Amino acid sequence: MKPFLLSFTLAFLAGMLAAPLAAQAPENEPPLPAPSAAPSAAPSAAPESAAPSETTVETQPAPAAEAEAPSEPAPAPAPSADEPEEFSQKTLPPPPSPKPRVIPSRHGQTTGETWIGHRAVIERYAGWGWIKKEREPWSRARWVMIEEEPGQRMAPGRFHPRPTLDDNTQYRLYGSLADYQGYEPNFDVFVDVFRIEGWETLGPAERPALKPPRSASSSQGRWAERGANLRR
Amino acid sequence: MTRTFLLLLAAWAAACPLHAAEEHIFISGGPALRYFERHKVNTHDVFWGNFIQAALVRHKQIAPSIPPGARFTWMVFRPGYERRTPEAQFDLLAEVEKRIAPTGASVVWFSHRDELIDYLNRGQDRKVLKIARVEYFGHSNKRNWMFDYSSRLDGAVADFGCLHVRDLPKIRKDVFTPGAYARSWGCHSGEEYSGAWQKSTGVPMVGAIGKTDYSNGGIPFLSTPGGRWTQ
Repeated sequence: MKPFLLSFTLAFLAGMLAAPLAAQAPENEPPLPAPSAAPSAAPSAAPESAAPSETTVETQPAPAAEAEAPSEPAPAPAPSADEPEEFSQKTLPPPPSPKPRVIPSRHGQTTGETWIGHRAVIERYAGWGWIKKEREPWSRARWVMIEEEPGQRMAPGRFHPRPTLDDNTQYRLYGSLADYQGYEPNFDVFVDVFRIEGWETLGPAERPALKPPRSASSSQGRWAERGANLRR
Repeated sequence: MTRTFLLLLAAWAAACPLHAAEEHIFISGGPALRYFERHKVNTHDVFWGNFIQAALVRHKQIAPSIPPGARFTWMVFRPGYERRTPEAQFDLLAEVEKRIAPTGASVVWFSHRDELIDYLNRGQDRKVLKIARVEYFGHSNKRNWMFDYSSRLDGAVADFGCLHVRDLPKIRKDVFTPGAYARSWGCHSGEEYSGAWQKSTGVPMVGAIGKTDYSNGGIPFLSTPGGRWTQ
């Protein structure tokens, strides 16, 4: 047999062999797991110690001590630990106060660009509240999420026993709008992000008559009931 | 003439590898910060490694069906593990790599949705190495894969840290094998995301109607009464 015919034959056979292998997409998919499938194979690799339950009522930590227990929890916490998905701002009730907490009237860098902010806690709507420039009317305010850096650049609510307890408080905020937007998962909408550098408390105030943005296709019923990981 | 043709044919056939030229891809989103979640009634990600551990268990399950020689790539949203590291008080990036290493997967860190899309489209020579599997482990709702959920923003997601249905048309259809498999293990994906994925990529995606739960440390399970998997 001539050499080129031999090489052709070998190559052709190789190609024929390779084709069916390459076409073996994962058609023989294993059956879908049962609800508690394969838990036994899971957590053995991680010997981290357990952490305190998230729902435990805490004593008041100082803001700087926001970090939890020093070690991470084990990979297989009790079934209730990571339970129902809910993109909600709803927080636990404030813990009993063993001692009065001192809420600072200012925090962080209080020079530079300023905004007036109104903290507004809205159930099932992510974000911090409304901000506007000092001389602007509230009708020109925008709904923002706040970009924080734990332990360094923190929203005012972090100094309260629960971060939602400063609802309807106004602040002078220092910082700037971020160059990206935040996604609000309950209403499928992208909103502005404020990079907070510092703040001063102005005091309680009545909430401006404003509604946060929603996507054109969203409605309260559709997204609250069927949307983003909400507990019914 | 005939000889030239046969030589060209031989060269083409020789270029066809004997092993399966396909890539299997896992995508793991990042964990939420406890700083944001610890006060919430329905708190997320008590364990930092939900989206790694579940995928490890899933890998054990599917490993026998992956053809020998197929490439296995594990894409991980880096900022989520970087930002959780101070809370964990140990290097989560190193820990993730250590846990994935036994699977033989190549770890590809990404920090922006465009990096993920770019990898799918041209991270390998897609004329030769097509994608046979994509599986996602992480936070999601019916319209979005949220790699960055509650990590940079409280209860929300930075726009670059998610893959919204509006981004799916950026993924090329021709990067997948004919029988490619896709699955989202996140919540609610079967309600809209699966359909949008198939429309954009041509690949059907299994997704959940209802919520999924990663908290048992194994394969995520449906936690909504009446929930089901759909395609």
